[in-house]
Amino acid sequence: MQTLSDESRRFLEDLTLYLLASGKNEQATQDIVTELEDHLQEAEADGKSVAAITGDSPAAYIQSIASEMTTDYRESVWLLLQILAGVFSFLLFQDLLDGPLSYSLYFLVGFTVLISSLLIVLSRCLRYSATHTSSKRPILLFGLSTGVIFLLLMGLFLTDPQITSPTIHFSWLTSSIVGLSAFLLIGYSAYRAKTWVLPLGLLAYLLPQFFLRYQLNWSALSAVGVGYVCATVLMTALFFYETTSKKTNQT
Amino acid sequence: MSSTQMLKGILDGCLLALIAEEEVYGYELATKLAAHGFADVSEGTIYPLLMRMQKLGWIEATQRVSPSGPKRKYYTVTPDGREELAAFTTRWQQLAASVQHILKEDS
Repeated sequence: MQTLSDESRRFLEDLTLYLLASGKNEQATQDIVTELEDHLQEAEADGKSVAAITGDSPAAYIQSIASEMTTDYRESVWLLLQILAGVFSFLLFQDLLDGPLSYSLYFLVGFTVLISSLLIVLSRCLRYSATHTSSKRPILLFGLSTGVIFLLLMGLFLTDPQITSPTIHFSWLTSSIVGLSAFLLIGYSAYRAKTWVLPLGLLAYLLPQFFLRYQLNWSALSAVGVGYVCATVLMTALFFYETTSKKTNQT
Repeated sequence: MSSTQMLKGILDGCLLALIAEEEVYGYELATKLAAHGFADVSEGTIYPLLMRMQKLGWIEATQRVSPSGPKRKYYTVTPDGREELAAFTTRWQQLAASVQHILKEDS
């Protein structure tokens, strides 16, 4: 099979990014992208350019495709929940190292709202960057809004002890049950998504901390630092390893 | 008004008529449309329309390996689509006759 021009390839990538960031069904997205890829291949063989297919504005064309596809809210909510659970699990297991769990309503609501808005901002920026390829604005906007959200998250952590709101305290037993269910949930979603980045990253974050704090009597803060570095290195390495092995599988 | 704008409501019916002739895949359909004189319609325009017609149940798609290799989506018209095509044909003939009538009166 002959290869596509860079222009066509970029158009297909932008289309995929836009549709997925708009919460369209993954299978339906794959279907239309494959169909257009097939079309572009034949069109290029006949000496036509991508503009002959998309018309004057690729961005408008991408939007016209998106408007014909139904938004898969169930899949979006499921994805949002998975990411929330993934982010929360780091916090949960970190707290488990310090003792039984306890969360205030203020913290839980604030945390959910902030992480959700972070994901919504990310999806908006991805959509914008797919239809405005040469523009630096989405990167700037994303950087700015993530900065603000991180500041708010820090504020949430700092103000949590001061603000009184209904608080759930867990016993050791229920804490362990919560921890175990979280771990099973992570395992299950990793199995479904066929990526082991999160559970292995979580282990790389927790095991060194456990060892440093309870065997070598390190302080909690320096142990967190080491755990953080281990997890970041391992997750980045795993991410690149999985991406390249997926690519080799495809070709 | 450009012919692209005039075409908007008519293109659905034209695609339906072409698919009703024989089952086709996307690129083939675009080529046929161009061969019938719709050369300035950009080829990609057909895909959002095909998606809509599929949702409406007028056409159906089946994935099949094509003679040249890759798997392709072939489109066929459903019974509902045939009914719609018949209705479109009547609507178009009435419209074309009325427009023709007015234009003749003017000249």
